[in-house]
Amino acid sequence: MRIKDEVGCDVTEIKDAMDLAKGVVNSDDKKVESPVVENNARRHFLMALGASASTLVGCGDESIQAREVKPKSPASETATPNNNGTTTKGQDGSLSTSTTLLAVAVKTFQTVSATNATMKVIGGAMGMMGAANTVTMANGQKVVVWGLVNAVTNQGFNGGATITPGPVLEMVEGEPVSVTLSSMMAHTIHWHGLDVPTAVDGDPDTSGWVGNMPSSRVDPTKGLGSSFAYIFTAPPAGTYYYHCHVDTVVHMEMGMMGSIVVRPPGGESLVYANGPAFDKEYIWQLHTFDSTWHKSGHIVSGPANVRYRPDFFMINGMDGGNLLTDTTVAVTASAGQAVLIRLVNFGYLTAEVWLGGHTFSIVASDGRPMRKNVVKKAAETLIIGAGERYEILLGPTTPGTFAPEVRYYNALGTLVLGKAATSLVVT
Amino acid sequence: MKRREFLKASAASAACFSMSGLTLAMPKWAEAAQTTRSTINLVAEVAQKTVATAATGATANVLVPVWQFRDQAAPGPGLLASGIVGRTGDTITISLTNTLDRPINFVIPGMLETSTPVAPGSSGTIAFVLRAPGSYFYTDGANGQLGRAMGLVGPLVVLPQQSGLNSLLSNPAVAPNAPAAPNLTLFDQQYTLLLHEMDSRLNSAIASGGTFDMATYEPNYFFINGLSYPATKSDPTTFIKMALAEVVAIRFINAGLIYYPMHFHGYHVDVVLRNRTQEKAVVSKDSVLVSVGECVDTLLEVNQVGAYPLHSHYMPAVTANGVYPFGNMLLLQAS
Repeated sequence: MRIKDEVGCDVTEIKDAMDLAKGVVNSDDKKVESPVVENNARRHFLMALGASASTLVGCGDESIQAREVKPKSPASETATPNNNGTTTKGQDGSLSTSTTLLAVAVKTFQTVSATNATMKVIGGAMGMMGAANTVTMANGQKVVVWGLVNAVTNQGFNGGATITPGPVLEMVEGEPVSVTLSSMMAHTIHWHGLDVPTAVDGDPDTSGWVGNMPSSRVDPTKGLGSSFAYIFTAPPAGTYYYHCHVDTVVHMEMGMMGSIVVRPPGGESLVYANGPAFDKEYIWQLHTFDSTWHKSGHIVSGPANVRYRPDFFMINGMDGGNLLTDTTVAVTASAGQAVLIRLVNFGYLTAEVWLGGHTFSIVASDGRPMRKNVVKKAAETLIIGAGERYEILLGPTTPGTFAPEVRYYNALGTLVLGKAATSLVVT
Repeated sequence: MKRREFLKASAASAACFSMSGLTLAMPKWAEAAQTTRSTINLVAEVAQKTVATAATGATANVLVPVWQFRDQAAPGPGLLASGIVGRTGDTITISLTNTLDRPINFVIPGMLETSTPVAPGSSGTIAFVLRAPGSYFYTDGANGQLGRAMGLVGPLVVLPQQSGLNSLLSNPAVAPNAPAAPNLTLFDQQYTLLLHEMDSRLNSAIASGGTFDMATYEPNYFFINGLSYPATKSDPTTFIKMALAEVVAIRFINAGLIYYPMHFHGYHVDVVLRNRTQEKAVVSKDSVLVSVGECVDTLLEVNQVGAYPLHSHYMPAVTANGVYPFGNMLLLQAS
């Protein structure tokens, strides 16, 4: 194992970041409007809080190395968990509850702590008839969607007003999770990949149900009752997702899902405990819309939905030119940085990810470390099936401008139906 | 001692199997035959397949004309009319009777790529030696993809040569790739899950003597062992019942023409073999992509009790003619 110390902290940046963090930890009742936390400030602050090198272990792949971080100041703050279900950029439960902090990378998307979160449904079968919730695609077309959103803020992914994808829920491996879903119609949350007890698994075929769900053929227009609390222990560190499992083929297509990031205890910038470190973190959530399914007559699964022919191809709920500028999708990095991209395929199709010529390593999948990291050359791609997740690491990044793309295949794997193209700029 | 470690220790000596009361874990659908058979009579025929779906909330059955390989002596898992189990090195002789309206042959991707076609109304014999342990499927290779689309498919499970060895590979003591995650191949019981689907428009066209453009193939019925959920719940070879601490081999055989990204609720599994080749990189998955024509052998270590679904996450496959939940889904139950 080789350990490198290539961290050079700017003292001013550290102080600014620490001041920010004090504000964060002292404000446990309301959402904190933190100033924009740029790359180095936040990273260096958390590095300054520090970790001992002994807690970092290389993963055996020379292309990916743990990073030694020398403490530059004592970790004196004792933070309280964020219990209000909201998190702004720069605030999260794992940081605040850990005493052995590691360097924390720049997170390009907001998360909501799942320690005590509440979620609700926007849209749903009845919602179709009322005020429509729509996503405007790059071509101007409006697509009606449903969502599982943060019940406190009504926000979806990255604190946005768009209700699908839902917010990224953040958990800490081994710690308790409580997420309460409120809905007046038949919906559930299935915790995809989390291997939770049957009672909270969220599939009415096995899990039991609340309200009027008499058979496996759930009538999605019947009431679920008021709320249901999903309480379980967070699984091993990694990337997962959640989705409604009632009339699933329709409810997921309508947008009722979001991602989950589980941190290793005390190691927000490690993929998993003693695993590879990263400086900057992205999440790419892959899915498609068949816009005909989002119209009246399609809101309950049936012969009208018998064939799935998607016409929009997305990352993080966006398509087309938006993918070139959106900061949760388009990657920017300084040469040498280790950039982690969490790939979540919560769409229906098989996707192929190409980074436009930048190499990467596959370091984990489905919430488990790879037995052996797989290094992908410039021309190589990663196939990711529906339901799968992969953590890929670009590290160290090499200078250049790249044009990554995600290709979505038909069910037979014979045809690329569409692409989501973005950019990767390393300076 | 964890179950897996116990199995590993047991494997060190064949005598341990009898002493510990372990017996050969055949796939349940092959238990009736008790032993592997060297001669198998297959009849290729037209059949009417009943598929449950629902219209306006009420369950209704539809009939789909299909082709099948039928083995009078022993059916396959679920509703499949045949299935073959043998050991590496065995010579298998297939006596194939073709009652269909066109010549067919008998092929096993990865083992037997071609054979002499059998004319309609006649019989032929095909002999071959079973190769590497793992999962395969057999089908007709003389009509392009039509045989697979019409249901002319069956599972072939090749066990290691050693009698009494419950292992995916001949050598269960494969050097682990990482000490923390020994890549063991031993199991307590095994299930075979053959995945395929149908576009009923194709079936109707072929059954009425017409043709079908495969470029327009978009299936509307989806099966595991020929069963469409919830029928998978009432079949003992497809409803996976497990005991805590057991290691269960689950073999996915994609004999269809679409991708099957199979998602386990409640469990992760070790992906051990892909097309009979040992998987080196991946440790543990809850979503296992089974590509078109691919066979993936997995091991599930039962670490919690409960009832959980296992289904494709190409969600349109968990329907029958568009209605959810039917099609590619089964239940796992651990007690």
